[in-house]
Amino acid sequence: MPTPATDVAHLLRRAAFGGTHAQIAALAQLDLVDVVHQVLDLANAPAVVPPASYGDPNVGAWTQLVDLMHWWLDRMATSPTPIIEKMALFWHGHFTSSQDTVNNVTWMYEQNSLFRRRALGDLHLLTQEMAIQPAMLEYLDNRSNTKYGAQQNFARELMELFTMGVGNYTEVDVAEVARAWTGHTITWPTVVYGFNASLHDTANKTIFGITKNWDGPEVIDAIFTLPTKRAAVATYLTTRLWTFFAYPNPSAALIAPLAAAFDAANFDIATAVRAMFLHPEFYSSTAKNALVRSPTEYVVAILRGTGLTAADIHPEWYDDRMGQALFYPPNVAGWKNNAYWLTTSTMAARADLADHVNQRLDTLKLHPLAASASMTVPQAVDAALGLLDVPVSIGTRAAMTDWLARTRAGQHRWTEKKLVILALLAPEFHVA
Amino acid sequence: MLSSDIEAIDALRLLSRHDASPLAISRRRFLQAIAAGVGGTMAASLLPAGVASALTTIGAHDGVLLLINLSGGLDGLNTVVPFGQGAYYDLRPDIAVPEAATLPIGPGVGLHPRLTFVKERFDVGQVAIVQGVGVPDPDFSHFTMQARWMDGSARMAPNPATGWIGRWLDGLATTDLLQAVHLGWGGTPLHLIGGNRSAVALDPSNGGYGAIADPWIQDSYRAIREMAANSAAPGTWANTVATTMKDQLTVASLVAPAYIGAPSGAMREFAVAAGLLNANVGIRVVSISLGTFDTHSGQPTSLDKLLGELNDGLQLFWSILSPSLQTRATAMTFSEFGRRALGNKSTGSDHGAASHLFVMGPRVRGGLHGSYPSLTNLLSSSQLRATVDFREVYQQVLDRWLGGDARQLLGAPYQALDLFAAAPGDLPVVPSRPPTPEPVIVPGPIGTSYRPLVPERLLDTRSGLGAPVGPVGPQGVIDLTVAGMGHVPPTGAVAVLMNVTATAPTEAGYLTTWPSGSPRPEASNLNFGPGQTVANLVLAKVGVDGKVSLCNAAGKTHVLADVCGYFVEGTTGSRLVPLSPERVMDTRSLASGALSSGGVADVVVTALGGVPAAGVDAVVLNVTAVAPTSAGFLTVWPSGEAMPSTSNLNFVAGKTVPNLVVAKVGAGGAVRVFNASGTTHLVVDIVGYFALTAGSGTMAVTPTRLLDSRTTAPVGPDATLDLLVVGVGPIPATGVQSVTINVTAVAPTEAGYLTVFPSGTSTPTASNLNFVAGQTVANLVVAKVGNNGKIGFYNRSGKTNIIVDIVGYSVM
Repeated sequence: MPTPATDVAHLLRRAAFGGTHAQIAALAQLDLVDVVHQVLDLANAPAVVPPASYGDPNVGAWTQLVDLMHWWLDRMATSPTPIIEKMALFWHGHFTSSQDTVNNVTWMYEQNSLFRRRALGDLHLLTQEMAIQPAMLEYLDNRSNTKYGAQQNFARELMELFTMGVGNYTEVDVAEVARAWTGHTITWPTVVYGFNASLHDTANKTIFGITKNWDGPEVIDAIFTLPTKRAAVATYLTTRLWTFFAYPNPSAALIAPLAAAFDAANFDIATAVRAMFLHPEFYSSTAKNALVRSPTEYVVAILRGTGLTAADIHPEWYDDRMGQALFYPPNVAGWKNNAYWLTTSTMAARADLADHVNQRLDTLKLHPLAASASMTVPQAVDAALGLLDVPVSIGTRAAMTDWLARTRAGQHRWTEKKLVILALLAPEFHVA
Repeated sequence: MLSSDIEAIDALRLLSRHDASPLAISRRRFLQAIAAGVGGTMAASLLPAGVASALTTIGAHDGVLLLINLSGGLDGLNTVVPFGQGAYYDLRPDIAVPEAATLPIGPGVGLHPRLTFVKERFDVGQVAIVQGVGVPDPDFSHFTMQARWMDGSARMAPNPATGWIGRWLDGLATTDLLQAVHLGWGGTPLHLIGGNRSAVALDPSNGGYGAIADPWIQDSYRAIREMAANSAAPGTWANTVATTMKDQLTVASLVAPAYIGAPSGAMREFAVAAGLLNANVGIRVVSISLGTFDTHSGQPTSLDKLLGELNDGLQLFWSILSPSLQTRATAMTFSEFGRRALGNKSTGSDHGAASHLFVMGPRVRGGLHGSYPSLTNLLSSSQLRATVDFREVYQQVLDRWLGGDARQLLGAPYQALDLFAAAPGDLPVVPSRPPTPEPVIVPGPIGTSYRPLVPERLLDTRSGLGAPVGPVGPQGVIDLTVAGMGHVPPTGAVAVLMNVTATAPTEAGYLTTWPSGSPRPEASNLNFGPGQTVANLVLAKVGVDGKVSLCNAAGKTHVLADVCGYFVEGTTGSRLVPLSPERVMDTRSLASGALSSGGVADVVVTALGGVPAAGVDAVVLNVTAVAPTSAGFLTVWPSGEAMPSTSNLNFVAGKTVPNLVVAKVGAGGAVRVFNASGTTHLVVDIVGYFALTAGSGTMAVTPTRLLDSRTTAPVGPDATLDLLVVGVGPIPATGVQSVTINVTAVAPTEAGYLTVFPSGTSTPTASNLNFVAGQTVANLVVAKVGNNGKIGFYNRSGKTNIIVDIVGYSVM
């Protein structure tokens, strides 16, 4: 049974970064199960080769990081398997580390690679691996967690923000889990993860009511093994994923079966995500247009619509003011959504970016209104709106049409390429 | 989590955040207000329908604040230059400011030569310089120290979520108006973030996208508005996007006037800040930053430029600020830390501890506040020791200027400073310069009230009470919990009066007390020789954790502490009435003679001299044991009550020993004195009393040294030294009734005594300290201040050096 094109377009805005008209038309011929299968099919995943400047001792850290941002944004815009990039973005906001604190491009890249490698894999393994990467050891201080001075930062966030959520552990657990993680550090001079037994607390710890000589990774194993803890993880992560892909504050009734399926699949992330994308509620009116495009999604939508690369438009000049700089989550809880993105100053930054993109299109001789002198007003409006991957309302089109008509009637016809700014600021284009 | 050498700008970025959703509402209300506040015609032509014109202007008695973050760590030593101290030039051969170049503002102190406007305003009493301001237990990371300054709470939690101005915003009664603006890139910094309200960040370069006035550009803004109005279904996210976009265009248009004519460069933010306040739309706080002041190298040039920008920026701000706002405005600087006293090898200075800050405006109490940090008693690696806790400044700004519950916002009482001469007001200003100093129109802080107790022992290292069993070693510190101990309440006691006794010391030494959590001051409370038992009354400010710290300088000694009362904020207890000393008992002239072993004497302390018959809660007495026949001690307590197991002064045979005693008044308006052993004469001088009404409030301060005559000359026989105390160190310039000082006679050449009294009056028949040749003794003194702002120290015989540490004062 074919799938409605609007559902396909909706799925591609969420599971990917939007689809072309051709992609949407082709997928709409298929049954939803097959559409979702294609979206989650990683067979054509491109190799992960870091940008040329990566690790080059002659290139400064900031330049390396900007190149990495551009590289990731371009992958989001062009990858044949955008679900991997979308999941990596989710994990970046979930298992957070920030370059502000980590201050090491290599470690940030290694973490990003893990998010891509385990994007749709086994959550248990992903959790184990992220815990001992230098980026996380540095960001949440487990690097300095020793039996001589326990450091609870990682222990707390592991349970509160990364796996189970509040209410599923006690303050005693936090203290004891911190002790279990002592000695898991970054070794010198090799600057990689290492276990320093002399710094590890080998005395008994009581965690989740079980007293033994716990080691850090065993705590993660327990979280993914003990039935009540497993259930908490399934519910917590399913809620986070649903919020990211569908809409915030889902009902417990909606989440419960999805969480049970996640648990039953032994925390196979692809299974959880597939169940969401196949859920009727995912295509409900509640879900459609329920998310504001994050600044990253806005940038990628512009890249896809214009065909420009990230290096062409320098998103790093605007991302902080828009409220989302890749590799710089604001804190360990990551980014929030919807209203979080909408303040007058973040909108000003989106407008400044739109203005800049318009100029860059002109400079690079790629402006869709380059030949506007020979276009009618409707043709010019169509050309501008052709940059968008979403349909706009009659009202938006009317405002653009009226403006172009006024401009042509006035003395400032040379400004008419600014129609592209209006298109990029169309409210519809900021909603996913 | 952070390397300590993270750059200041990165630290600021980490401590900033983009506004979260609740602010969208504030913003909308902001533009409603600002719409009506700025140029009516522009508002009328640009405002879309439906934007209300509700307007909250700045109240006639609302203070507004320009907060200037001197980011990177301001070198206080080269800003307020201690040119009178040779050590300054020894420490900084490459970067010291030459004495001749400074702009003198006090004895041995001058401003950096670029601070001409600051000096001009200082001279007319409009600049308060808080000297030696710093953070307790400092580290030298930009991040940590910015976080502490921005947080400003007593707890100093490692990852603060809110800042002091943000919490103030949270508590404002008005909810329909934006109250604070941060001019800067990179979001709103921590100090302006509250639990549910925050300052709005505005771009310093322009009002944001939508601020261009050219008609054809305006026409594209109109299209965006129309697009937003036409396209979005109500209640959808597209609608919220559209509304926010329209709001942004409106805000940009309406704040645009504040940017008109503002110069580029460092001056810009000062000009825009004044323009935003002039809009008079209820903005109470504008935050800007200047710097980086992280002058590790090439400091003379860079600091010259930066302080020039600060000076010129302040001048520009005050020149643009509307005359009607001048008396409601105060500007304040802060910086995460100062710099090391010792210059580095790169013609610069490295991260330090204490620095200074400026509080400027027509209503501040101009002058030097706090005391200049010592250049000789430095922290390790040559950092200045703070003499003022930075939260003392916030307490003043919140309590006296912005109007907030400082204690709640900071999490603890701070009240050592007196930075404002008057409340924000709408009195007309004289625009001509130099402005006339404004008259004092409100009294100073009310200070604390006293609640006397029957003495109770809180500390005895011989038995392990209050501290581990065993003597305190050299440089040993006891953090004695006083809050909630004995009859001291768990919260609310801002200072305690304790009688502290050192017993069985192994070497000559001294004890110092100070509020826990603050830097240890250069001060002493009592001095002893080997084997001596010495007591002294101590007025101790309580630290934020409810503790008082005691340090033993040298050798080992047991320490005892008996609390006899505590101070609470406000007027709910007794207030101090200082008196000129008056002798109320001298057994040498009584028929009953000396006090026998185990004997008691009731000393009537009310209805005599200046003391009323009723309403007296406690009396301040200087009690002296004269010529005792054997070693022993005296205990003083309210007549009619059971005798406590405490002591007030200790003596050995033949030695005359005084001590200050604050005693609750018992039955018959009397206090009772018990002599433990031997026979001794008893002399009692009354120096003040606490009554429920009509007295002055006591302000306890961290001990600060006011005088050390060893650096000048000793006081000769039958000579009086007059010491100016008002306006010195932490003591305000006006309203001071009395000071509580710990007076130490050092190495007297002969046996004798000191009498402390109000300067300008005749020397009373009383004494405060008694000594024999070569003996260093200390006593707490409550001294009424003479009309000339001074107190007199009369030395009867021989020569002696005198050290004076202030621990408190009282104000009407």
